[in-house]
Amino acid sequence: MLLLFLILGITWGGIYALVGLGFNTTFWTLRILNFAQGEYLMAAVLLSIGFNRWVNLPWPIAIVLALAVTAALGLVLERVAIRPVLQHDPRSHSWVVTTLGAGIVLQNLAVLLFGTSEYPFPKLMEGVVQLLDARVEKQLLAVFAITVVLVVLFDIFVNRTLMGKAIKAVAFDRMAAEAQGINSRGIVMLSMILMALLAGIAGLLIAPMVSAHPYMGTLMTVKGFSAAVLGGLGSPVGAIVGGLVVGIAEQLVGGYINPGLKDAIGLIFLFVILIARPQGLFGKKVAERV
Amino acid sequence: MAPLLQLENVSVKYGAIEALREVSFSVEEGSITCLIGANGAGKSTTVNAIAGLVPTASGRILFQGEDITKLPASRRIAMGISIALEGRKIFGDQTVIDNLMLGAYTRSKNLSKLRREAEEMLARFPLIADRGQQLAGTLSGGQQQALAIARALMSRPKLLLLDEPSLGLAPILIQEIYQIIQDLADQGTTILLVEQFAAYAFMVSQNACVLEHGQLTLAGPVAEVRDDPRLARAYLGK
Amino acid sequence: MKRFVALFLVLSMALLAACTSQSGSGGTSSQNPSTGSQTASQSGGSESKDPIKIGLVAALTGPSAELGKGIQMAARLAEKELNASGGVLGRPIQIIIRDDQSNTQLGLNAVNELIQKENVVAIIGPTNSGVVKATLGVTAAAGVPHLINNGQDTEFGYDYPHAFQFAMPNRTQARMIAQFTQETGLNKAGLLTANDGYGQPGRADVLAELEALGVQPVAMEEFKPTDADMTSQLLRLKDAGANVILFWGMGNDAATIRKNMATLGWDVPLVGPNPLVMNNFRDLAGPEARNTFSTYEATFIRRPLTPKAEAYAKAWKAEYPDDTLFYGPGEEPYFYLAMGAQTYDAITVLADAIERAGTTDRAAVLEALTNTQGFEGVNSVISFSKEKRVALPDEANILVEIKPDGVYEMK
Repeated sequence: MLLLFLILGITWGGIYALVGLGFNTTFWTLRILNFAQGEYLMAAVLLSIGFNRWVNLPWPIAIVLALAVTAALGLVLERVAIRPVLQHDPRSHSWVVTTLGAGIVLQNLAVLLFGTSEYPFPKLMEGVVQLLDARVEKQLLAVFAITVVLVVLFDIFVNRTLMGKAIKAVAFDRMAAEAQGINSRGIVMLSMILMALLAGIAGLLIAPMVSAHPYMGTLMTVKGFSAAVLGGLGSPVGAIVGGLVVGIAEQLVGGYINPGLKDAIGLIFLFVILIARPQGLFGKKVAERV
Repeated sequence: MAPLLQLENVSVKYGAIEALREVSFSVEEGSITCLIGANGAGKSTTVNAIAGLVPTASGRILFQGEDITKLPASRRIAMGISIALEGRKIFGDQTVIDNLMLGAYTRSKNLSKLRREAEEMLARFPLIADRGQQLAGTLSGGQQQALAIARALMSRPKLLLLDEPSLGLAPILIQEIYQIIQDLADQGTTILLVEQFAAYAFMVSQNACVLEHGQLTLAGPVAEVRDDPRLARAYLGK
Repeated sequence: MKRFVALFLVLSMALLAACTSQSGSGGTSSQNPSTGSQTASQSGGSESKDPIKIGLVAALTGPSAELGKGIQMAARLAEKELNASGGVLGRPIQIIIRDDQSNTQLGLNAVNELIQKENVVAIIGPTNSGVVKATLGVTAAAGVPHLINNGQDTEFGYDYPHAFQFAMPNRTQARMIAQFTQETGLNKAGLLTANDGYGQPGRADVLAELEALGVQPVAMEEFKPTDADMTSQLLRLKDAGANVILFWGMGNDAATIRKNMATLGWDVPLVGPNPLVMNNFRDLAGPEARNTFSTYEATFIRRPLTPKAEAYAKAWKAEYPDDTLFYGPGEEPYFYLAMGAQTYDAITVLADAIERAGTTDRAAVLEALTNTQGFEGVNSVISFSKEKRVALPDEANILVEIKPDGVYEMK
């Protein structure tokens, strides 16, 4: 039992971590939190289904195309919901409302296009494996493996490429970054694309295990946000640890106490961390420099 | 020979405020020119405009005879203009080496090549030579200034813009920084030096420009500017 | 810090708003244009050739749209057939259809409008049990016979003297689900039910029927409809040693459960009520739509078909040759047709009662309906009484096994 809870918790935690990392990318470059994040997760999934069902594209192509459109939607979000707000007043927090609003628009568009019904999504692989005393589906392990690969790639990108260092530079001091010839506008675009792709891939990973529908993203926004805040906004390690903590805690609480409390765990963590240690587990004391 | 840098009637506006009004001067290749004036006279605005970090409202900026007024900062860096910003503005959450590598952002994206170059650059700055892996935010003020200059040099500039390198430093450190500036000039780097304390600037500069309320009021060889009564007025106000 | 608390509050509120908007969402209502004369004739005693109006409220859009459309098609078929054979009392039948989008308020509005403005003889519908419950008081107060073509709550056929139930009552289904444990010997039952207005009464019915059989469930879990992940509940059932899952909820949730069971490598039978036979369960569960059992009308599953069922299937095919949802694909009538036949039976029983009453007076029609004896419907032979007004006798229902490719009578 415990082993199964841990396996499930780590897998779901990895998904929350991906969404949490997406929160970080826009926090770095724009000092904003994109509360439409979960809707990008949903968009990638439903667009894949749409391209496959209605345009008759094979799944791999449909998925790549859907991710491309999702990334483009990320750029649109920056243009319509974030840039005008920050241009008007860089210290404004109106982006809370505008990103939430953009999410609701995306959700309603999805309802218009796809209705409120649920859609199936194909698995990467079939079959079951035995892990010690736990039996789990291969699909679950595939999701976990892909999540690990993505997190490693993300780490390499941010810490081991000049582009990644440039993102951190823009996050730290936009003008100083510009003075090095870093196109901060471009870096912001890149962060929006990264955000959309992280969310989109997270969605594609869970889509076969859950059902795809226009409301699938909302709860993921909350859980990804919990992961990011728990770990400390801006800290990639924090987002990963935060995601895993939320994921595992959910499984343990759901399994040993009451399944109905599962979805509340993220929020409870959020409350506790905000009161006890607002900068999060791995956040710096001066996380907010706006 | 045409000057390396030439400003023609450059104006800069921040909203309704005119920070710079029709400023014209030039910087000769191989020289140190200092830009002096009281706090808020428009010195930083001038170098930031040259670097492409603030847009000009009117006028032209020529570099090597070419009009660069509308070019983005990245293009200007690639052409050979580099700036060490006022207040150092190092990337405090990254290592010294990472800071240096970012200085060469427009030149290359090859990390191993850049790392080698960054280490070579580091060796030229005794103040920070053994600090490569340290987070830049943990350096002392003088070390940060050295890093800021070293980072600006990573793009291999023909023209180096130095904005207030002595700001907030103890006199002993100011001497060290000015020694670095002198060495750079000796190696042939053209420098436009912004300095609030004219005395420091005059030690190393050949030419001086004086800004007052966003206008150029005095320009010429240091020897002349130093003794001009208008210099005192520029600092003391009317 | 304060700022983040504020952010968090805004986020939670938005989340709540998003959740509640789920139930109310849907397109604009696509009402059927009500044709015919605008003069509201008295429902009783009119000697004219004006059509006899019957009101039908169905979920034509929204979450139950698939079903609602089938109901509409069945109603149109009944209307056409009745009118082709001379109508009722020498007058044509006109079925006025309104869309409630599975929304209680819209359902109430529609029922009120049909009674007050259209002056219908009787109300058929609405599609969803919750909406039916809300409208029963309106029809009772107006003395309008209420034919429940799709609502399954057990009390519908017993507690309301003006209501007649054509769907399979929950209690009947619960009994069959409970009996599954006896028939298969899998009596370590784990209950897994939705914590909503459908799942909770269903759970109570199943528990009562299990108790009657002397079976004590090994564990009981609930889930929120559309929960993305029910592995926690499943692991608790598994840990308690359950060897069969008694389920009460909708097909999409059952699909999530079967997929989660696959994730956990756990495979025991899942038994539940008839929403499981709907297409969305098999669509969503894909290859995992297996080892799943449900109750359903035997009408189009058992062979040979009764003459009445055969005639209905033929008529459907002729009227809707392109329909693949209720009929096809292929030449065999689809088992799902029974769902539409509930509405068809309701309308034909009503027509028969009006004919016998000899008037469209609501009280007289109600009296005639209550006295219906041995009427041959598509799904069953229908008899009502003052005590029980349930169209489907227990033997009309069977347990079916659901497989990825279809639905079969359980062996």
